[in-house]
Amino acid sequence: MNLSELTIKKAMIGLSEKKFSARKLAEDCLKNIEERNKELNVFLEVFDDVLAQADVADKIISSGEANPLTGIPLAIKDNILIKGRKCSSASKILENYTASYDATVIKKLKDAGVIFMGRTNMDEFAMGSSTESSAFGPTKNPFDLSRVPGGSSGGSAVAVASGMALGALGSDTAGSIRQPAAFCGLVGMKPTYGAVSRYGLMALGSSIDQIGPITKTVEDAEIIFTAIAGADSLDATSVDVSPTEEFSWPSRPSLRSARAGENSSAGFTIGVPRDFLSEGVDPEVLKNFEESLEKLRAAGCKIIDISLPLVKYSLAVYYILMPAEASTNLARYDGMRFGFSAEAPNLLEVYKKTRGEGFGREVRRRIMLGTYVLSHGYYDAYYNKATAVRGQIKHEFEKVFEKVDLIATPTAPTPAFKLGEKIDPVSMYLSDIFTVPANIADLPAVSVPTGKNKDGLPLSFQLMASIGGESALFSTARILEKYLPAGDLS
Amino acid sequence: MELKDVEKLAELARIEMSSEEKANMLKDFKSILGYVDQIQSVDLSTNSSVEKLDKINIFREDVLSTSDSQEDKDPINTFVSIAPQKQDGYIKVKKILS
Repeated sequence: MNLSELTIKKAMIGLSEKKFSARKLAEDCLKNIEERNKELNVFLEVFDDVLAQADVADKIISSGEANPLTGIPLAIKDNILIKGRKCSSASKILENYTASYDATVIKKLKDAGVIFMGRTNMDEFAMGSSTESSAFGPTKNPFDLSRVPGGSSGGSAVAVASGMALGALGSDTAGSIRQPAAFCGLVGMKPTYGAVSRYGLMALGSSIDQIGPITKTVEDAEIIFTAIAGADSLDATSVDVSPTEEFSWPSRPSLRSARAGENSSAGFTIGVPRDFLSEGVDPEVLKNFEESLEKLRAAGCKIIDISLPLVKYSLAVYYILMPAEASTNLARYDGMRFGFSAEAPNLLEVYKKTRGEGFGREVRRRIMLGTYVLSHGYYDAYYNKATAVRGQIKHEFEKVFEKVDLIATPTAPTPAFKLGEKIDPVSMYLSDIFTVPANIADLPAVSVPTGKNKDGLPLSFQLMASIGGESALFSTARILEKYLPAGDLS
Repeated sequence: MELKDVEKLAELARIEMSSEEKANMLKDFKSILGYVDQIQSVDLSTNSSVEKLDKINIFREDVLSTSDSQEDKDPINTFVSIAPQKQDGYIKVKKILS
């Protein structure tokens, strides 16, 4: 089987028509892992029971009890807990930690009969945009081994791009699903804040984090999203959003009526925030973006210019709120309850040595930054101000969504950059400039591959929808995908 | 921001750091704070109706529930068993008062 072209949808059909078994599918993924994992550094661990899982799935399929994801091999980012398996967030501090419970998304996928291939490399505690901050070495981009795969869910993206799994879960706090998907020629989707339970996801920025899929096609992303979405009593912020049901949020009448029809994207209005795109964007990225807009226009979408004057502050807001929340969330790593614990003569020294040795450089930097913006004398100027600006940005989006159904930008300002290229933290942070607004405003967003640049590196288009607007997002992304060359992965 | 501020933060955050890293951290902080300071220029007076986020705290009773612990018959033991040091069913820590 050519796994670099096999979608989840096609595999589902193949399995149900008995063209191949789940075991064969898993074996082929393992073969690709065997061949390329060492070079690409995708999996921190390949599970030793993959074939046993596949045999269970084959039995379910034979009994006629299969559901859409039964027997589908998926890769899981190393910050999502699977009971009884190691989970490290690519950090030394959790190198030997074994999860004592299943994340809600894992429980749902287990019930669906998914095959878990292994846990994928990532930036330590999801803090990064290149997978270079992993304590276990960077993951390489399969399109060019001298380049990063994006991050923080870089391992998950490369697992799908190189045929080691048919889909993957990532987490997205500023673009950590969409940007690596973009750098690896894949679809990456960040759901509406709260649409997917975070129970069992290691917290980074709790008011921002979401789990979502990385896949080859929009349809595949929708299949995984549907399987993992839904309110959960174990995540108080979770709500019910499903692309197949009427949403609980008020939305534009045109969206509601469009959902009824099959060809629902025709007639959608897509807003382009021109001011936001005027600086620091690679010319090839911009050209490709304009061509993609033309395709949507040709398909019957209305493209209009919009103004979002505050959206440019999203990244600055993020780099105050996220470190503040992360410094609080990571206070639990104290060497007492779980994970690494350093030897020292007294309690205070145990804390300091454990955290000093256990956390990598970027994690230490963000905890310190969070401590600073929350400290007496700076709290108002940073945390409170950022929270208020976040409210204004959300309000600005709400106003614009009275006029448009979707908002389009490139996913990232450049294609995949070189390993080691972004030494200065701010230059690294700026690679999330277009993805972070959706996180700040709680919006669902998807990145769709839109061809390659002259060096053969994937380019990508991002669509954002209003809160709960997953349906419009998926149907428009499918139109875009239809006009693009089929996935010709390396 | 000065080096002594970084030292204070490291103390507050309970992170041991070499003096070389503290110096580098100071440099990084100046660059990051220089970037995020742009939000100070946002005028919030024009739209005072949207002052704060609509996020609210959601509370629940603090009760041990076996249904939530996914068929874990002994969640307390599970919790204690992953601690680096334990004794008699308790997590063991260094002396707090000296």
